Amino acid sequence: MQPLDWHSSLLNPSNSLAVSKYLKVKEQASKSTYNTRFRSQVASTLKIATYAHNSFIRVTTANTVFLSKIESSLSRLDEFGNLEENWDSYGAPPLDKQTIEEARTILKMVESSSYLRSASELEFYPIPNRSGGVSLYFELGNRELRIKFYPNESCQVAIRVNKTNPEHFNYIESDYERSKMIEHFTWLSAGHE
Amino acid sequence: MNENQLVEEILDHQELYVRVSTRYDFNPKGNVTPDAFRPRVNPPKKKDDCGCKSSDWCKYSSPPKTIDEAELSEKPYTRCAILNVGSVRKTELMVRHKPSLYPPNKAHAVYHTKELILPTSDRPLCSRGFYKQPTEQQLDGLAKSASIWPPKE
Repeated sequence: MQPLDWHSSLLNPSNSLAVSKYLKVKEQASKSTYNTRFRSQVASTLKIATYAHNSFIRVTTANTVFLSKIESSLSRLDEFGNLEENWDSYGAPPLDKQTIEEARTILKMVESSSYLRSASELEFYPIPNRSGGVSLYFELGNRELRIKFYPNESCQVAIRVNKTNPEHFNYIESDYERSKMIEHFTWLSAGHE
Repeated sequence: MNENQLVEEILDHQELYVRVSTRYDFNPKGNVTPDAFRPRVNPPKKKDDCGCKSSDWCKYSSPPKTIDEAELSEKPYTRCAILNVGSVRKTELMVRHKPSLYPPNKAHAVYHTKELILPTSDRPLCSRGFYKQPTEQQLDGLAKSASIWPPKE
């Protein structure tokens, strides 16, 4: 009985029309579902691709900026080697070659550090100091690290943290120990987070 | 007459002028660095070089005059940092007039820390002892309070 009823219902012109309409709607609905899924997949793929592309651009740009800062700092150090007595017009001595080499070593260490390389906002620069040595300044986020080399092989490290108020800084000054440099830079890189 | 007889009192509202170099004393952002205000540490080359930072007192000098005392080749890169005496004293540094007769310089003033370290065998040149170096915090205070003349274009 059932097939007959089904058959007879198809023979009914009004029913037949309803079925074809139903099938059309179903097909459209299916297409629409498919399109929605497809669009969503495309969108998510595009999103990932865009993110990857932007990350690549960001990393590449950060890397280029970082390398150019390293290059400029190293060439500044070369320039410092040519400073003559009284370069500051207050009688400062010429810069000690050993302090320049020490500063160069630190910059090379920074250059090879992957975690500092990725911090695009890391600022660093060398400054000649009045005692014939070199000062290196590193700034990242609210943290600052200063390493100062003096001609008598002494060195000083100062770190500055701005915890809550930009007007208020905490200072810690200590003697330089090369073995502690990694620790200092790890501390500095936390300013990136 | 000796130099001590020429010494005058420097008041808090007055100013000190320090030469700074646009090539060596500024960071990439264009701000003067604390190192520009640090006295020499060692070795002292002259007997009177005892951890004091020289400057010019506004009573007998002016920013253009201070810049004019720079080496000829450095003049285009020299600017004048203006420090308010009260601000310098607020950072626990002492300011005093130290005029010299030879060469004559009535404007010469110095600032230094309050802690005097007596001469030691490794610093024989410094017969009168020398002042302890200012801390980074003190130098930051000076760099922050300084205004630069001529201002940036």
